[in-house]
Amino acid sequence: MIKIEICCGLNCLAHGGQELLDILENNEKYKKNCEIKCVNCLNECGDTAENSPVIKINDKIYKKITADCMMNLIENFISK
Amino acid sequence: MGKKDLNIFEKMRGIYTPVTEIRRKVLAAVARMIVEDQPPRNIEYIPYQIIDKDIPTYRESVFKERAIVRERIRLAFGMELKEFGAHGPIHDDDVINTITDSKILKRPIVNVIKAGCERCPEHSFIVTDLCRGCIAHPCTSVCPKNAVSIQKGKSFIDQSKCIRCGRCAQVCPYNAIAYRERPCAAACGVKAITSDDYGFADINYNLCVSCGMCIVSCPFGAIGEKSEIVQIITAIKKGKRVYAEIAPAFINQFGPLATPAKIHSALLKMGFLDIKEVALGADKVVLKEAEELVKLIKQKKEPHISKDQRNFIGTSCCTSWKMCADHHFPNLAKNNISESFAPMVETARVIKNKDPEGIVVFIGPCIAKKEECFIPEVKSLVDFVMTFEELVAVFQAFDIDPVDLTEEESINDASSIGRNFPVAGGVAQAIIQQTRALLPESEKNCDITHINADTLAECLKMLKKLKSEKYDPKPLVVEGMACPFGCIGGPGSLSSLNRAKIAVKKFAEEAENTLPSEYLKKK
Repeated sequence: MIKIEICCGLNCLAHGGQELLDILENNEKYKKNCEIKCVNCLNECGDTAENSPVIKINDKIYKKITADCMMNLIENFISK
Repeated sequence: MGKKDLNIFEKMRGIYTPVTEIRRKVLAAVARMIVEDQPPRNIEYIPYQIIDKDIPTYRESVFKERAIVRERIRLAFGMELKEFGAHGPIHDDDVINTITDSKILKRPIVNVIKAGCERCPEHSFIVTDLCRGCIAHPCTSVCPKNAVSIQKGKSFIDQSKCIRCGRCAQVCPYNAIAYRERPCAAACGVKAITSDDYGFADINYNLCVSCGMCIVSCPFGAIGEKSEIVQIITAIKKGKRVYAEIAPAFINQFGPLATPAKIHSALLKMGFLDIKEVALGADKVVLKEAEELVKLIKQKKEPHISKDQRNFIGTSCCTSWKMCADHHFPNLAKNNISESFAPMVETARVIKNKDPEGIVVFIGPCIAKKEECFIPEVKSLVDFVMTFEELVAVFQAFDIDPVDLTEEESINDASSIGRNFPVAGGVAQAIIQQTRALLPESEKNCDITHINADTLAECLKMLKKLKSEKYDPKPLVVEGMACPFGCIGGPGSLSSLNRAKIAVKKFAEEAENTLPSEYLKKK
């Protein structure tokens, strides 16, 4: 089971976090293989949200992650 | 196999794009500048904060990128755009004039940033590379204007003859003929977007109803709306008594963890004295419109006495829909659309009755509400309008994160049907439910037919059918919403439509009362 934590703080939310959550929740494959959790601000986004959105996959932080990048990462984890 | 075709509203919504990123970063930078009391000349630094690389990221040069950001900043301050070719420093005297707590916003609200407009060609059918120059070439045979011919082994459309009927595209076995349209014009339900002499998008303000759909549909981010965040923050910082009224679509807009109670705490922390739900005003509007409907049902039973020309109750809460109906079907609108004001106005009245000197800020997903504030009666009640997207920027500037706050007091101003307003169909359902409760016992189960439409193009179609009386049975309640799926699809919203819809429904169920009449009497 892959553990994914999505930062739902204000900065990440305004800069793509919500959209990442949508992608995860609307994908059956990800839902089956991952444990998706919304968490409070991970305090990694920086003062002007320059690192948003932030997600944590298996306790490793990924900053300024794009949707395609996240999907690639998860695919890699699933195939491992 | 292709995926299902999406309409223009579904194409870019719910996807985080660099256009969204720039828009939000500009708003946050402007808000931060005011919150931190930076001198007005610091406005010149913002383009360099947003476009901080030395090589172009989005367009052909960083200079152009910054020039467009400068225009966005002017809009965020509520200033007029500078005409093409009139570019001077952003920091003029007008910046100083905008840092005030009084209203400075002027029409128009929705503006084309011409420097950012890529002059997309107007709608046309074009032959793509998929064309194989087949022997049958049915495209040439079906064209009623003889505009399609075979040239150099491929199909060719003479644009001067083409009437854009689309027959050629329909018959092509390779789907090689594509319909290309400008996203802004495709999103505009009232056909207000034309081209100027140079091919830049141009808004015909006689037709524009400020719904804001072109803003969120332009893939180049070349259309923007004026904002009032600078004046709102200034008013709060000056210690004025500022009240917030928050539209029912706010649920889930700030993420799944920001509960209504947390947003309430965040707004209080920001400096608002009190927060009211606009659903309270929605309840009052429902009650009024339900009373109108009861009257109408009575009249329908005795048609010989009534001289009233009213045929149905048209909802009045969506500003864009009302403006659009008034413009295109003036008689129909005058006779049938309810006179009652929008929920925003009714809620503001409640606040102003308590504190006439207070400043009322409406927070919602809607841009047309900024337009509504130019109506004299509304102007005296609602001082400023801010979208959810702008509120996030202001939260960021104040360094307030609703998620981190504790839940103190939950909002509880409204009934569940008032809270259901922002989903398309919600207003009509609300009026019908309330009307059934008002009708005498014997008539409770009478038929109340209703129709509803979302997006302005659909609304206009509906009005056209109403005018020619094509509906059978004739509807008694007609609801129009300018945004796709209702207010939750508004241009100033952040949440995805599905999630917002579910959350709004859930919040409505949490309300203590079902019908407005139940608790409005108690108060």
